[in-house]
Amino acid sequence: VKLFVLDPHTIYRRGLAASLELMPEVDAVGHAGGMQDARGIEQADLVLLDPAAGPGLVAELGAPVLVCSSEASEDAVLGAMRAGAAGYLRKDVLTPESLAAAVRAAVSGNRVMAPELLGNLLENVSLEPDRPHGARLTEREQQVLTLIAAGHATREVAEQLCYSERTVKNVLHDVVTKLNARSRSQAVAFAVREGLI
Amino acid sequence: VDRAAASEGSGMPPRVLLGNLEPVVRLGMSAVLADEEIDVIGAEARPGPLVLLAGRLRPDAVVLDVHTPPELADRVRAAAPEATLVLWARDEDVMEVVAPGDAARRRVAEPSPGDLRDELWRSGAGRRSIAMPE
Repeated sequence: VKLFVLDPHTIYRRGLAASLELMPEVDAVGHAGGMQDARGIEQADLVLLDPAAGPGLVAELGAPVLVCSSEASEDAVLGAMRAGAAGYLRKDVLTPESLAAAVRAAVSGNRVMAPELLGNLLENVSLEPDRPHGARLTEREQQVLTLIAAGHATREVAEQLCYSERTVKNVLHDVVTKLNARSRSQAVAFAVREGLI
Repeated sequence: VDRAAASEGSGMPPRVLLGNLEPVVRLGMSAVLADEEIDVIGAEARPGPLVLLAGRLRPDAVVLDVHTPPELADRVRAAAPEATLVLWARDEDVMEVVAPGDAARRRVAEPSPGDLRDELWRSGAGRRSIAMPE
């Protein structure tokens, strides 16, 4: 198994690489702080990525990506998973042992989620309230929500639709209220499931 | 402070104790410091044993997590008063340094591993120089 660590934080990156090198099934571990130095990353079976290494890398890298980040918000986690990440790990609770288990699962084709994150996500699922039947989104709400669902940030949506960022936030607030959702992520999930976008 | 200047007169590398760093950070720091020929003489994450080890080993520097409670940092300083405390953040956005005798922490924003290396080489440089046989 060939692995690559892409993380701009030198000491954490070296720690990840040292942890991975302890795994008997691992043949090689490359590492770099950014894509400009990432020689050999295209040969990796799995890339451990801190999204701080560069925007859009989860979707752009050819290999499966296991995100390893200090950012643990629901939006960050769901955004990475929607962009195609094989899993999401939290740096602050990661140990060499939990890292090895996650890498083995991801290399086997399974999706991986740090238990601390999974708890939050499942809580939202179990508490999901009834959605209004027959909810309809306006054309503007559909446009905004479609771009958010595609992983764009609020600022990017505003630029693309020639709205102010404030307008986009207001539209999203209206959508979350209309769909009786607890967060943008829930609103997106519901809108996709119900075919509203 | 560059490494050559800090070690002038002794050539001896600093003796560093790694404290309550996260496991992955501790591994990475050990690897980086080994590259710099800095001696990691011990590692202990648990507060009580860390204080005991600091008192026994009397390192030139102790590296702690930047979120270390002030009470623990004070106990480490009391156990090893000659040691410089270096408090390091996982995301390398800040490093805080307390040299022996300093009343307050000195903050270094967005430190590089080179900044860490320089602080560690600076720690105890005078003491190491005095300890030389000649």
